Amino acid sequence: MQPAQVSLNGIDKRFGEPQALRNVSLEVRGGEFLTLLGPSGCGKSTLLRIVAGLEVPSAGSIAIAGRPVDTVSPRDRGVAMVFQNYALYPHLTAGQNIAAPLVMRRLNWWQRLPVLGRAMPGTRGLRAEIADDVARVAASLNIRHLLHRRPSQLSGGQRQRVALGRAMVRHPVLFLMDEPLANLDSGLRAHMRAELATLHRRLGVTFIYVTHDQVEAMTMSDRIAVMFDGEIRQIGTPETVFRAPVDLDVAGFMTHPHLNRWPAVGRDDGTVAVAGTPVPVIADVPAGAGVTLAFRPEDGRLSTKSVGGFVPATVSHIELLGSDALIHARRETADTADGSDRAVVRVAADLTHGLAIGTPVWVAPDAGRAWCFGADGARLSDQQRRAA
Amino acid sequence: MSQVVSTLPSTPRRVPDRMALLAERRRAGLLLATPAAVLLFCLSLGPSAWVIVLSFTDYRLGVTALNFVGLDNYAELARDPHFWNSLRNTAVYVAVVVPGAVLSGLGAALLIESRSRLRQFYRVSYFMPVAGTLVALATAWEVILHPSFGLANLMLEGLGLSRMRFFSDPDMALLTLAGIGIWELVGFNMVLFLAGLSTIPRDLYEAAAIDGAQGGLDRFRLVTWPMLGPVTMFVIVLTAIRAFRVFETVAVLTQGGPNRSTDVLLYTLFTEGFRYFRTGYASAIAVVFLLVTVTLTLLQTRVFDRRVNYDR
Ligand SMILES: Nc1ncnc2c1ncn2[C@@H]1O[C@H](COP(=O)(O)OP(=O)(O)OP(=O)(O)O)[C@@H](O)[C@H]1O
Ligand SMILES: [Mg+2]
Repeated sequence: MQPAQVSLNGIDKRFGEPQALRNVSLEVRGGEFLTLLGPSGCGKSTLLRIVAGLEVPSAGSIAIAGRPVDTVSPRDRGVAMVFQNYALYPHLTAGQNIAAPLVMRRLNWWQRLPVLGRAMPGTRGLRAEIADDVARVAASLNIRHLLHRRPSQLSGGQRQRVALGRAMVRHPVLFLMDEPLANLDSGLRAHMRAELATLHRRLGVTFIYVTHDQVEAMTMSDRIAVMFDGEIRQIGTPETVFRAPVDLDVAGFMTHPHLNRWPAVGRDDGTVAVAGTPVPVIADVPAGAGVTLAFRPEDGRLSTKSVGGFVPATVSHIELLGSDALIHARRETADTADGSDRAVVRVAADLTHGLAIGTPVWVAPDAGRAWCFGADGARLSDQQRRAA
Repeated sequence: MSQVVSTLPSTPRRVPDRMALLAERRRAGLLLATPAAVLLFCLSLGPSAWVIVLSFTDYRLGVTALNFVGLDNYAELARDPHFWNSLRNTAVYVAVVVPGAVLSGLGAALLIESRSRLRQFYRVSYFMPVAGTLVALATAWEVILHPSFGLANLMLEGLGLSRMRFFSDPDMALLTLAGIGIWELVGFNMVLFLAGLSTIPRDLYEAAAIDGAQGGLDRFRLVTWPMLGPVTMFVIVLTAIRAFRVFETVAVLTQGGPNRSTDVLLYTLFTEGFRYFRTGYASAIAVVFLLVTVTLTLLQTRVFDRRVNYDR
């Protein structure tokens, strides 16, 4: 079966007053793993549920595999969905859960009756086919030995697999997943990430995957659509979104644990000044313009001596992470309310010797790794400087 | 020089051994459970035990003498056609009221869930019998079902049907009472079902929609009905117990008549005990009543609960 492409066109969704989605348009390519990434409440789930047909958009249209599905029921859209808390039927065994989509489609109302149904003509053969299909899916997910258990007797990871099995069993052209790994512990999550990526490659069908976890998005996706406030701000490969965020929100969301954001002013010589200290960056900052200089902790540099181009600060906290350490420092500025005085730099752990809370340090970004964002939050391009 | 007294004990306080600690905890537990236990004994267990004792005597209300007669009262019960008649009537009543009140309670709850606009109105109107006094409401029913000027018969006539003698026809009376019994219990059952419906996770319905459930009936079979299992079992047993205890409507509306066709267990107990003052005999009926109720309760806690609770 051809993997489905999905076109969303000008989708709006309003729940009474608050607007959950604003004019969202998106083309999901056939067979791609597309992740909807964004903070809580940005409308990721709503968008996914609109694709599934569980929610009706206030405006806009959807086509799956070239077919408009605006008036098509969830059942007939040919999509499968994995819910965050799995939504397994608690009264059915794992096997019956996986079989449910087949039972609902292949058996008619009479054949599904508990006892009488068995006596209906054709039921026996259909039930046997369904059992075969379930066994095949279960084998591919390594859960054959769990099929007779109820969901309450399964661990989180096992439930996860059953939910996947229920989604896979009828060979949908489109998989929708709403934070399927959110309830797993971190070890299992890492394992399931790899497994989902493998599954996607093996099935070759289109995946739309919702998460607020940057690592999940980076590790599994072909493309990431970053959402804020009901809008898609940026869509691109993980590399693009990570290296070239279009605005400050995206940059902040793609950074862990803290994006350094310093107010700066453009100078004539291709640098910006942070509190009077010139810091070299590659960006088209007009002279005299107020911008935000931003860089990731891992793209920062730290010195214990005053160096040109480095901004003075004082160590406020040291977090040892094992091989690395995060040095939290504060710059001396008048304005501390919005966190713009914070400087967080990731360094090798052995470089923390001699550092203590209160130690004066000097911080600067790697010139090639810092971005400048204009007053509207958009990233200032670096085309011309690069060319020059 | 005054003597210096150490404020510290010379030896450290003896660490109580495990057994002593457990015993202490047990004492505290017993102490805390005492009020509830006393109340339970005074209000429930004590009287029940006393009734069981009385059922082996020939005690008559107002008479000071009392003889133990062994199982004589039970032997008489077994031979008494009135007792068997009232037991059978009670069984018929329960057999009509339980499915009637459970199914209509479920239906009402489903209706209310789906119609958001009239929800409040439905809730109040179904719940009214629960809040009202049954004796007063029974009187209202008497007026409605009156053979000549009752509203029900006026409506039947208006529809071109013949009048019905709801309470004076021996074939109708018990069913009429059962109808009132259903009406009385529907509201309460509906509230229980509504509570049950509100605990069903919404995403199960969404999973069902994606899995291919189409329309309300599919959804009901795949999600609603199985998820309501525990509530339904509870409602069935509760309704059975309450139907089994039918008394007020009989006492107000028919007094067991016509021709003993509505004589139910509690009404027989009442007439034997408080009209003929045969307390010992009435106690034996009470014991039978107690046995059935206890059996129903055990059935719920032991069998049904286990079969329909998916978390165990
Ligand atoms: N049924 C609803 N009624 C009213 N508002 C809703 C409803 N569903 C979602 N919303 C609102 O729409 C917005 C987007 O919700 P949505 O569930 O899509 O967020 P999300 O991005 O999935 O967040 P999360 O990561 O927390 O799941 C939120 O502001 C939410 O309050
Ligand atoms: Mg969500």
